[in-house]
Order: sequence, then structure tokens, then C-alpha cells
Amino acid sequence: MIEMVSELFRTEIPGFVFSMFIPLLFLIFMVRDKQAKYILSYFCWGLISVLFAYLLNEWFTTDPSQSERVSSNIAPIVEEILKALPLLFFFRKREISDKLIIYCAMAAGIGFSVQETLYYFSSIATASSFPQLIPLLVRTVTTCLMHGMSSAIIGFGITITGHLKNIRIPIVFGLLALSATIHSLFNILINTRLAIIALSLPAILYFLGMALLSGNDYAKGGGENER
Amino acid sequence: MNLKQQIIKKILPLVATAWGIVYFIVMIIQTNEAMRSVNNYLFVITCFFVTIYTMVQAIKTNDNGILLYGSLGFCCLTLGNIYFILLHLVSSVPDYISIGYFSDICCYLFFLSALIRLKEYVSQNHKLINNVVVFLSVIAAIICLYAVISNNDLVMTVAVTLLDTFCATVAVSLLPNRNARFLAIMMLTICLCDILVTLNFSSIIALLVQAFVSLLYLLFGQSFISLKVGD
Repeated sequence: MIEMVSELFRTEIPGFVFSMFIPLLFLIFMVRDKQAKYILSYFCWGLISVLFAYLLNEWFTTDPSQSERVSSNIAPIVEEILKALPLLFFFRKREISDKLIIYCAMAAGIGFSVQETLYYFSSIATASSFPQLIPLLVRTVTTCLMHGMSSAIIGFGITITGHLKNIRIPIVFGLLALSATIHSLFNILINTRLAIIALSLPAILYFLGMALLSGNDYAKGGGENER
Repeated sequence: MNLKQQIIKKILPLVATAWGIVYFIVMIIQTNEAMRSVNNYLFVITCFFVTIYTMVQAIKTNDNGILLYGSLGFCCLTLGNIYFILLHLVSSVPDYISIGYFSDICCYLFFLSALIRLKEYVSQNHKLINNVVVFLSVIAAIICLYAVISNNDLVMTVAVTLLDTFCATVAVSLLPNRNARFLAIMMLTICLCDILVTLNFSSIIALLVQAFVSLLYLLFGQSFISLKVGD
């Protein structure tokens, strides 16, 4: 594990993480709005969780029988669990609105994707013209949506079981499985001829999520509803 | 009953039954891989249809309870099966326990949650037993997760059998209630079929289950829609 930590500090990941995390920490203290504080905090967690994800994924890679399954099987599970961990905080908080929980979950996912995309960008040659930048931009948008939506799914699970303590954990666990499967599909298909499916799946989820949230708004009379 | 309802409630199950009979007879006479592929694709299409149908009903009725949990369960099941089809299309079928299978199994967590919720509507008794079953099912799901990470078939078989057993137990307790009976019977049938196939009791039973699996899930989806209990 010490070797892995040393290996981690030889990469650019800690630099990327702390260069974003520290300024955002100042912002969290300065901002007065409670909702903004929550969203920024979860975004920061997304940034930090990349460090733990890297260490855990590297740890699994050390086992030769597991190394080929890391990207498709293990990394999605590890990353989804790490991104969703602070959502446990909402298990006890009854005064937080449903939408804020989902936005915080998305923020954690997007924070994670920011680091992943930075690492991806830094490991490829710099684009010298705008057309060369387009595939990178498409990749950025879809990775961001994928991570954001896969975390939002778990936030959604917390909102639909707010008043049902006993079945909350199985529902959230089931949604974790769903998120991890979507993540795994994205990882596997993105470099194949079915990349278009990997690229469009997060967008479909996003619009479905918007439809579900709008449906709830319509049913409640069109306004924000604080619990 | 309008045409759309007639198609969904009567015609589709009839078509699924006819296909099941034909499939069973053909496969008994001679194993046909093309038929097996078609059956697999038909099952995925059925799951996809049931997912969309139940999800649309849940959104239309703003259901935040049993129907929504059921539709999420079908979502998990469909995604798990689509996972394998997509991998097959890119010639990347894994030879280890993959996350798609884990998603398949976790659909039982949603179905169990829906059954527990229904049980609470029907009767406020046995809350402790319900909570114990839920707790044990989460343990079984965690064991499943371990089996995926460690690629252990035996542990996976145990976990799947446990989840099926818990679902079947809750389904049996719902049988006396008239409103919940159809759903309980379908859940019981699916759990028993899954246990028999997972434990490999008999190849004939496995073939029978394969043949009528689309019909089973069509009826299972209908049992959620026809339930007249909501939040």
C-alpha cells in the first residue's frame, strides 16, 4: 500500500485534486447559501474520491487474476461506492429537499469526472486545432454526464425511500448495481464500434431524470418543495 | 377494454405462450442454437417492454411506491441482459462473473422491497420479521458483490439462492390477500424457477423455464400494473 501511495504521488492526480480542492474549500466557507455549500462540498468529495479510487483500483490490479477485470468489473463498483459514500449523510437529514439530494449526488459524480478527464487530457498529446479538440470535448461531456448521472441515480434512490427506513438500503444497493453496470458498459463500449451507445446512454438517463423530476414538480403544483 | 389493453393483457401473453410451446418442442427434439439466440433476444425485448410500460405507468401516476420499485427491478433485469447482448455484439463476452449478472440479481432487491411495501399495506403485523428479511437480503446482496469481485461461482450460487428464498418467503406470506395474490404467485413462480435453474436440478426444467421465461415476466409486469395500491 505504501508503494501504491508513492506511485500515486508520482502522477499528476494529487496535483490536480489539491489545485481544485483548496480554492473550493475557501469558497465553501465564504458562501452563505446552504444549498450552494452542500453542492460544492459534494463536488469536493468527488474530486478527493479519485485518490481513493486510484489506490483501490491499483490494489486490485496487483492480483494477476483480477487485473484484466479491473476496468470492466471492479473499477465501476469501487468508483460508484466511493462517489456515493457521503450520500449516507442524507439518511438522517429529513429537512433536505429531494432535488438538493439529487444535485449533491450529481455534484459528487461530476467532481470525480473532472479529475478523470483532467488525467485523460494530460496523458494524450495536446490538440493543435479545433477539429482535433472535438473528440476530446465529446468525451468530456459524455464522461461528465455518465459519472454525474450514475451518482444521481443513487441520490434518486435516497429520495424515493425517504419515509421508508426499512427498505431504503436494498433500494439504494440495487441502484448502486444499476449505476455500476452503466459505468461498466461505458468503459467497455467507449473504445468499440458501439461507442455511440456508450456516448448516448448518459444523455438518455439525463433526459429521463429531468422527466421524472418534472413529473414530480407537476404533481406537487410546479414549485420547489422543502421537506 | 381498448385495443392497447387487449394487446398487452391478452395477445402478448398468448404469443409468448405459443412461442414457449414451439421452443420447448423444437429444443426437446434437437438442440438448435439459432432458436436459443432468438429466445434470448425475445426475452430481452420482453424485459425492455415491461420496463418501459411499468416505468411510464409509474411516471403517469406519480407512483413513489410499489409500481416504481417494480419498474426499477425490471430496469435492473433488462440492463443486466442488455449488457451481455452488447458485449456479444462487440465480441467481448467475459468468461468471468460480470457486473451484468450482478445487476440481474439485484433486481430481486427491488422486487423484495415492493413485496415488503405491499405487505405493510396489507397488514401492520410482522414488522420485525419484515425488517429481518430485508437485512438478510442486503447481506445476500453484499455476498453477491463479493462473488463478482472475487469471481467465485459457488458464493454467487449461494447468494442468488438466498435472495430467491427471501423473495419467495415474503411472496408466500402475501398469498392469503386477494389483491396481492397474483403478484405473489408470479414472484413465487419466478423465484422457484430461478432456484431450480441455478441449482441445476434438471435440464428439462431448465429448458421449460427458458421456454416460458418471457411469458413469466410479461405476467409479472402485469401483476404490478393491476395492483390497485398506491402511495
